[in-house]
Amino acid sequence: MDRIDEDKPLDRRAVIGFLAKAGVGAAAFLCGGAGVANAVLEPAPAGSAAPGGSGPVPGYDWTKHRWGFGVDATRCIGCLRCAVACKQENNVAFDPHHFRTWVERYAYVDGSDKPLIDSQADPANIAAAGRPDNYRFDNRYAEVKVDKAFFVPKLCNHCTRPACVQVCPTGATYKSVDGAVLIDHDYCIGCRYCIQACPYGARFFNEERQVTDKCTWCYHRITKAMMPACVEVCPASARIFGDLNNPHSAISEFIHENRVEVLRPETGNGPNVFYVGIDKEVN
Amino acid sequence: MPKHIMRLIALLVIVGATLVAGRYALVVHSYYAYGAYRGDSVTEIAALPVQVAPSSYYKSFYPAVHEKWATGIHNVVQCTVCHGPVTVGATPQLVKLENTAEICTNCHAVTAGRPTSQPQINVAKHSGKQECLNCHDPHSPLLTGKGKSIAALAAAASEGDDDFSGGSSGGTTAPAKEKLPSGNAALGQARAAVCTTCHGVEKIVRSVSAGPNLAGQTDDHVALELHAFQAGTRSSPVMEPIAKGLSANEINDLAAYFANAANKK
Amino acid sequence: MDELFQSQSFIGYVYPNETVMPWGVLIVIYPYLTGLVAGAFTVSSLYQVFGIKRLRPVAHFALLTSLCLMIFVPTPLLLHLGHPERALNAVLTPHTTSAMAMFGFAAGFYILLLLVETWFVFRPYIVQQAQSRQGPLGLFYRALTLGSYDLSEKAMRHDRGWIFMLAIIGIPGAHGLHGYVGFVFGSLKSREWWSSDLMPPIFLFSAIISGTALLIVLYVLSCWLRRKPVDLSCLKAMAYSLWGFLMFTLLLEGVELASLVYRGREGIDMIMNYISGPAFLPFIVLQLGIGATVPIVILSFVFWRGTTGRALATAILVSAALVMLEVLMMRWNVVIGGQEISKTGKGLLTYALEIFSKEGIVGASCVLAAPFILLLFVVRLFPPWEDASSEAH
Repeated sequence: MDRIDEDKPLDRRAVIGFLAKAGVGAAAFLCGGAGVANAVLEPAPAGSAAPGGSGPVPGYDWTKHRWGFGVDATRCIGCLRCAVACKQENNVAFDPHHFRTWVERYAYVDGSDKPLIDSQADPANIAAAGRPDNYRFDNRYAEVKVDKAFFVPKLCNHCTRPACVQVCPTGATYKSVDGAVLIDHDYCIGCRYCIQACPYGARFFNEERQVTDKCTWCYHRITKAMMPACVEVCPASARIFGDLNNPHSAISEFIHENRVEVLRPETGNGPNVFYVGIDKEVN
Repeated sequence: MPKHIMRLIALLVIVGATLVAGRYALVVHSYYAYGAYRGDSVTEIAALPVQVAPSSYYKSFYPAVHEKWATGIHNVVQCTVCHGPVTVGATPQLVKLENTAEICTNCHAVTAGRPTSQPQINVAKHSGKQECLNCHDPHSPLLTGKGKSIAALAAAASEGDDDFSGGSSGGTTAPAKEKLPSGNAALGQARAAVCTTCHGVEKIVRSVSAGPNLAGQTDDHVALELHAFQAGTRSSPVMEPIAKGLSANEINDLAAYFANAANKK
Repeated sequence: MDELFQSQSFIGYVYPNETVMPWGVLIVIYPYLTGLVAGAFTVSSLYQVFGIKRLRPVAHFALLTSLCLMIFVPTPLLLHLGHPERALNAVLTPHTTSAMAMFGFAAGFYILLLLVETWFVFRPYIVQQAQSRQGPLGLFYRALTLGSYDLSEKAMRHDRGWIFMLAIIGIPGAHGLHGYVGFVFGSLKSREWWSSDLMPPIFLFSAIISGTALLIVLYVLSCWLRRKPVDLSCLKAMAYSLWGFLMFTLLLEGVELASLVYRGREGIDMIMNYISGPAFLPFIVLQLGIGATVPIVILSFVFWRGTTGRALATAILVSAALVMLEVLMMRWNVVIGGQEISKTGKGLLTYALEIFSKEGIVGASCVLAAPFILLLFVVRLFPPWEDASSEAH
């Protein structure tokens, strides 16, 4: 696979097209004996149906954008306004088990080389918030010597080669041309295979709608030229969002001005959330 | 070939043909329009309602407050952070006064993990059960013109009250001065070039080393903190050597410059 | 319904979303059923294709068992889906990169193959019943004949050819279906516990032993119910096959565990904690110890001593029951175990088995029992026993 061009949408479709053909070939082999199911299969149109015009969103040309997300962990103050705004924006249940975005805290205390890790979902932090519709980190390390402590915001990485999309049996989750990995809530059968496939724990099951759910980078906002809700409310500018196609966008500058890294690069998923200021234990 | 096998094959062909025909009849509209997914779902997702309104939305409801917020140091904190989400079209709700202690401490309570550049308070020592509003205007929370003056605060700090701290960096205590002399902003600007790399004026530089935005900060506060670095009562490997190289006049000039610089975020 | 979901307790650090486990006990049942299908079909193929005549008493019964199980294989999956009414989406618009999308086709094709093969095998009986029986049952058999009562030597020769061909296609079909189930888990890179190239063969061999063991148990049980003597030669042939495949399975599971530990990639500390802690009973004791090692020892002992008669039958029956437990525990340890080890590699979750809910033990037991209740009816409609069919002639 040509790694240099890995971000080009056309190249990605070519890869999917190849996999599609390989998949049909394998299916044809399986079905060869009876020859019944064979004809039912039809390859995805791959590169052939290149979206012409402006795409499916009125007033928005999805071929002109390639979205990217940055997290400057050195700036995050752990105020969790992002987690609250995200749940409000996207109607996610206010409980400690369903998050489109969350914040982790890593604390090295008393000379230990292993960090203590918690997120806002930790029972003590839920208690500190005191209200069901708010989140807050408690000050649990007040009495110990903290060598190093920092916050790391997490969200869906909208990978270039998303493992979740690969395993979805129906095409209910897919990568849009402008780079967002989306879920079709009216087509998802609720098998939860994608939740298993995601190495980042970014997906969860929406029990109310009986479908999988996750961050969309607020696709309904970014297609209206607004920032994702978490970026909009972040008071520390720890979250950066923008168009990678535009060299002067906040995200392009963030990537050019810093030595960025991604989470779990060894999976080959090609995450599109770029981090600054994380640590060896963050994954 | 025996009759029963011919009939079996015919049956299988009919079943197969029915499945194929059924499949073509049942595939939903727009499924292969852009790829192996329902193209209409992109349209549907993009059409979901916006819940968290941008700050500009509040401007028409509260123009004066919006103006004060937009020019103050809190202009990085969007309206929805404190006022809750507002669907575009609805009137923004106002936060009740008794909630401010909770709202402000979401960001400003001392918490392990917060970067040292974030102003943090030990609530019990700093204000007890008082409402933050008693001294601070949340739309522009610096102390000038309201409550205790920063100089009075500094005086209290020098008496060992370390309630105002920058994270794990220790207490902020400064030489107590009744009134800091005003500096020369023009002279300060010449010297400020090295400061703006990290502290910004035109924009906040996004990098690991970026410090707090100083444009629009009060001169008292800038001077107070620089004196604290100089005296070593506030620690920072970056700021201490810089502050120690400054004379008292230069500190006042810089403070005057940043106080007069427009805060553009 | 007050709670829409059940959250699990955890230690260490787990991702917040992990506290609700996506897959429960129904997904344990699903590969177990699929495995029984493949295993039972293997026994039938050993007779049909490889001509192992000693298996003749169970060959047709094995085919019926395989069919009844296969009909219920999709049930746990459908019950598990959030939107079972949309299940057809996976077949209408299969996502060709998804292992799971191919399941619909593989399973549909395989059910069809089993139906056709069973039809050929039982055609003489169907024709004979169609000619002699009245009433709705007679109508049922007459419909099944497809209007042809041809039992001539030429027709039977054709039938034997088809049975042989279908059995040959069925071997890669059944085993491919189950190897694929292993692929569903082994191909995921998100969990170290699953991510292994050995998963498909492990699932395959454990499938073969579970199906063979099931047939041993069902055969002895049916002989007891019908008050017929157990054919010890047939039973011993199945026991030999069980012993051989069990050796393979244990070896593969051992190699998989060894390479997982030896590679020692990120998160291995937590996996070691898991194996020595919460997984010790289900994994080390029940799956590898009581479920696999003990039956190997028992079978080796009776083969060595040349035990015969009632003692042999009892030893084989006990071993088979233990092997069925080993495979069930293996499915449990893969599906539940994989989810109990956090993706963070820094925490462990504890799966709490529910009783009455959708993913509860009661529902899962019903799903597990359903194929055998169906089998009880099917053996009445199509008697697979040598003695019964010879009486009919």
